Amino acid sequence: MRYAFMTALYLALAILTGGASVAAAEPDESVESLEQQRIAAAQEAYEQNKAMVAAGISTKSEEDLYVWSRRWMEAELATTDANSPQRIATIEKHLKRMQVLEERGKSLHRTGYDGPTICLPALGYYVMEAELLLREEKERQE
Amino acid sequence: MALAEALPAVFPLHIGYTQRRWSGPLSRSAGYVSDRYEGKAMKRFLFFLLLVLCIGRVDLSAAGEVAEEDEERAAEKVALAREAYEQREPAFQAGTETAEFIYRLSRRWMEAELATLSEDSTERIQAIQQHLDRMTKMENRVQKIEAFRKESKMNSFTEEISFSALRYYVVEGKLLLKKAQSLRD
Repeated sequence: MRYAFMTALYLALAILTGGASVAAAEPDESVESLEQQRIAAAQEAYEQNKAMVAAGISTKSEEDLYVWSRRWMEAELATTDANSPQRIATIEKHLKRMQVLEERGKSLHRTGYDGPTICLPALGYYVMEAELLLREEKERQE
Repeated sequence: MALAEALPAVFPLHIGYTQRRWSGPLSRSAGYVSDRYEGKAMKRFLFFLLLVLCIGRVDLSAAGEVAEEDEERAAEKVALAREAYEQREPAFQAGTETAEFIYRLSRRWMEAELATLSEDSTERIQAIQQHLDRMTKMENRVQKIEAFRKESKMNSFTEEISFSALRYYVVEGKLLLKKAQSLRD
């Protein structure tokens, strides 16, 4: 009797702990969690690309940085309410990144560097686009 | 609108005759002239009606042709996007094409497919699922290669591949799928 009780107890414990570990192993696939994962992935990809561009890895260019900065911004915007001031702050951060990128390109250009990855008009475009996005968002929220 | 504007211009005689007919008795010659006008006006009316019907028919068939042509072009776009993906994907496996480029080709293929489907079509979910599968396959493949190279202590040829980028492609696919499914439910 005692043996049967202990077996049942162990079995129940095993099922419970097993179930718990299976539940813990399952990734959170809710929209909110996926949105956060997307922001994190875009941010990391941006940082990695930035490091690669700084290291002079030839296959990476400012265009890659722009693409990932935009994706990061868009992923963040997707999680904010339409009239949240957070939206303006998010676009401002993207603008700041693009301004830094343009400044870096200009200073490299001034020092005589004319590598294939530096395209000043493109850098100007990234900044102008971000400025326009910011202005549009501010006007929309007014 | 065009018909309303054109009618008074085409049938002034008919209207004039009707007014004269009701204004009082007419001489025989006048009546003869009016009957002739009426006949002419009727002929004009019939001709005009025929013309309108023909133009309408031509317009309708032309619109049908345009829609058919659009459909053909959209299908062609899907075929081209698919071909581009299938052509370049092996290059990625061989290490001569970037993950970013393959992602863009896969998205184009999905978007071209979505453009041919109606908003409530179940095939939309299928198209997004297929894009997600392609991205998941790409991520798994890179991870397997990387794991193998680490095990064998070989230099990583994937040092320029951003694993975060691969993660992003997959997560974005999952989000697109979730949103499409919630729209359907």
